Amino acid sequence: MSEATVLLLRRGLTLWGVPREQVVGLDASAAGVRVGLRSTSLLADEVVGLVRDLEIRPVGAMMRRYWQEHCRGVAVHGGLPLVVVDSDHPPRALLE
Amino acid sequence: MKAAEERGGGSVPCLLVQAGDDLCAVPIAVVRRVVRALPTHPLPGAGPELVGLAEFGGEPLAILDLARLLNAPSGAKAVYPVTIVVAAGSAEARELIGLAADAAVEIVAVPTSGIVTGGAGLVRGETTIGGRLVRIIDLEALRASP
Repeated sequence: MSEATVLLLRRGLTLWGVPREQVVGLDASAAGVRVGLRSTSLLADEVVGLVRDLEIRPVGAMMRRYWQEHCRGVAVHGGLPLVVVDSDHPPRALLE
Repeated sequence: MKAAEERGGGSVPCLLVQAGDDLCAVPIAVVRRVVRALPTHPLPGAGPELVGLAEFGGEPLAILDLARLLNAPSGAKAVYPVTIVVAAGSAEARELIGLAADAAVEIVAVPTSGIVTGGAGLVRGETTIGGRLVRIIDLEALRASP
């Protein structure tokens, strides 16, 4: 398990966390919020908040078997599960 | 399926679970909790077997569709769908997972002498209980590489 401060994003019905230190900018547009990272940018419907010291758990083998996207892990905040993004390999769902 | 029949006089306590039209037996040793179907959040790009992520006891929990894992025909819409929280792996690498199912039916002692072993993947073997075919689940198969 690890901890990180993450920016919480919502895209569709899914919550995502992006490590705060990877975020270089936010830009609101009609399409949503574009979140600038060091190497790329992500598109979200909204920024939900900032969560400090979020406990991140690694993805287990059984989940990994059916979901092959790279990520730092999974977590829960406010009773809702989320995926913490690996900023070097962002999920396709946030790039489209 | 190989027609190799396990011999022995023991039995395995199992939770009988309805998944689509199929009835399956999950060894009680791996069952941690049975709860009303947990709300799930989809994971874009996931295979159809992975329903999504849920929250259980303050922790993230991946939810798998048991009927899809078994390739079971869809049954009637479940009245009280459940999530079976199960654990797999060694004590050092224990992993919890949720199995979305149509119903938790009852706890039974499955005689090992009646289990016909074989099959592929998640199904360790089959037996009959009360005249119905029951598929015996082996969760460790899900932890192995596909």
